[in-house]
Amino acid sequence: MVPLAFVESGSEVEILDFRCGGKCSCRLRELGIVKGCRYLVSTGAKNGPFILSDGETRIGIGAGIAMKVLVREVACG
Amino acid sequence: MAEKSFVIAVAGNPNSGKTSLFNKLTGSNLKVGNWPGVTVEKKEGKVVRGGITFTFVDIPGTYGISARSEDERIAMDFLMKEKPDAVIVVLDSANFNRNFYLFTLIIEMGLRVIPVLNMSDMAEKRGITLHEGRFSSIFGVPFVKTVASSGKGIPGLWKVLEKMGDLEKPKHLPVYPKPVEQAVGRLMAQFPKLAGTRFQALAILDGGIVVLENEKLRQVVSELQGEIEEELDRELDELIAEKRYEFVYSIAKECVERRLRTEQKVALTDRIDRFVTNRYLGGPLFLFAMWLLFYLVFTVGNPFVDWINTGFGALSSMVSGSSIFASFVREGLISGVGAVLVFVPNIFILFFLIAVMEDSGYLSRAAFVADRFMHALGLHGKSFIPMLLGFGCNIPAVMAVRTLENEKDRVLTAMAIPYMSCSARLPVYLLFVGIFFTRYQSTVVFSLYLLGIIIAIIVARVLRRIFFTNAVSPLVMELPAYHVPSLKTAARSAGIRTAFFIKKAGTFIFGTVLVIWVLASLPAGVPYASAQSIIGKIGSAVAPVFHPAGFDSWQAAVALIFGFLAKEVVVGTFGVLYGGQAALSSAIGVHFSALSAMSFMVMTLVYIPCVATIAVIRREIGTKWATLSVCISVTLGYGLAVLVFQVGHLLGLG
Repeated sequence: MVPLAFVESGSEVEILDFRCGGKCSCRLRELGIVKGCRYLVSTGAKNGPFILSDGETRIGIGAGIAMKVLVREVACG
Repeated sequence: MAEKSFVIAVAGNPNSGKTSLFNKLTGSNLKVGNWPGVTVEKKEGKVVRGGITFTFVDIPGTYGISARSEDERIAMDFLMKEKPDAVIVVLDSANFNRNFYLFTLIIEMGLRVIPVLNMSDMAEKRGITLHEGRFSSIFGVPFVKTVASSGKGIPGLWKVLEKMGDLEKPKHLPVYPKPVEQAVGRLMAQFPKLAGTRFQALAILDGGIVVLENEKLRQVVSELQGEIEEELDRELDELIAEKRYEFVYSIAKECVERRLRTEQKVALTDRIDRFVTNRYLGGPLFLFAMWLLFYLVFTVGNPFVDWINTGFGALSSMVSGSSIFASFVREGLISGVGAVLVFVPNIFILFFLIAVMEDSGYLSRAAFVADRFMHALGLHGKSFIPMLLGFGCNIPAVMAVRTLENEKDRVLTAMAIPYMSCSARLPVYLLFVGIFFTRYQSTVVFSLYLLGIIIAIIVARVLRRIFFTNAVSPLVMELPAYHVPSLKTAARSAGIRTAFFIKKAGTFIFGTVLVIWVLASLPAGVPYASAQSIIGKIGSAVAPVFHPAGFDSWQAAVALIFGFLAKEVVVGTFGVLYGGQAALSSAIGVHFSALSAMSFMVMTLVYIPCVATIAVIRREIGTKWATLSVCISVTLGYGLAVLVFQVGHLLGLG
């Protein structure tokens, strides 16, 4: 389990948990970032913003939140 | 006379094609107003059909109840409190899960819904088929497939609307574990006013809605929360969201068919993003895009500008004679208003290109790329979009701050926007670079825009230091897939905004120019626009103030004084006072040097937001901030103009 902020771009990740407040996790869920969901990290670098993509959806996540979204790397691609 | 009337809300996620659908339904029967108490635009359209009056209300795009931005809050409040007769829920077929999550919230509000599976063509292209028949039989309400942009499926939607009277509430809803259901039941029965719907009861339980005014309710809720969390050993908000998503997935399993995914289109967006949002390339690419924008504004626009100029010249020479009327038409109307109108092609192209960027999906990447940078400055990445809109016109840009999620971001962004060089300032630059910097036109103008951005950022940063201490709100945003922008839509949007500019030139600027012409002609007997005229005396009195900045002609002082009303007036004033386009160039060549032209342009960029922008800032964030904005900009504009001139002078530049 690592923060999204530490994941290289090109990896596929599974969302495990959020370590941010209720409002923020609610926002993530409404945008479709849900525990157990898999996403491709299509853009991302340490300290930078991240893009999680799932085929049709693309969600941009700032560096701050990327530290608080905990993920598991599924495969490298 | 229509017998029945219904209020229908049009709701959906941002980027779901909600507004196109709304436009298709209402056509030109549109009324734009404001939501009560706030300045968020409210669009309503009345259509009578089959003896029924439909009032469609376009509510702001939203993802759910977590929103802290003004417009998303309005959307949810409208649904919960106003209780429209039905809600057209616009769902982006290609983003089914997330869009359907909002749908789930809306049906839990106990509202009647008309679900629309929009952008079904895009979904098909990606190998996703939504079976509307299956949806309809599960929920007991008709689902309609549409492609709102082309109008496909709209007749089918009208058929459903015409049978509004028979529409039932959806019969299938998410089911929660027993303790949660019991708690919901109890809240609904005990507090029908505050927790009258499943949605409200659930939101109060999971903390999404905080009810402060009812002590009893608060007590009951905290009791229930404790009991449930102990019994199920789960956090309630997480549990409820999970059940909702399970519901969404179960529906997707039944009704959504995914064939072999054609990766091509998706991969293209990701491939573009790899460059555009790259941490090293993203910034330079963005700057290049901006530079290209201004380059095109000039190279494409200038031939048209020349034509219009020639046209006005010919028009002016047709008006002969020395009567007051002839003088007014020649010096006031053609020179003054004409000096502003010649730049219509440049302005149209600027608006057109901004619309193209917005429509293509690049504008939201710009916000994303800018986030790290903006973050360092204490602003939110999303603040970048209103700031960028400021290049077109500061007024809609300041209005756009309402899409930001907290007060601090709204205030700081609105305070920074006036330094974004709007299209009204462009004519001033165009006039001066055309005379003094013919070889480096786009570079000089680009650097002025850049200077504006830098000042905006410094102002925001300093204000944050002084007035705000809390942390920057985090960035989570949807990035729509890239697509080829519709040139027709961009042209229409640019057309509307350019028409606004022309209208302003025809009314407000015309009026101001008229006043200047009258003051330049009085008292009777003095030579027109001479230092002895009233305006000459006013200008001469103020002009010494600008001596340290290198431009102390009284005409420049007058131009700046009246430029406060609208910055286009600066050029208009020169036109009136120097007597037309042809004379303008040589007169300015005499009164300014390249260096003082530069300091004058800097002054025009910074010195004060126009009256209308000040009014909008006041409306959006209050009188205190509007006053502060004026004070800062006047001081800064003057200071910088003096600095440019004095430093340049020391360096021997002029």
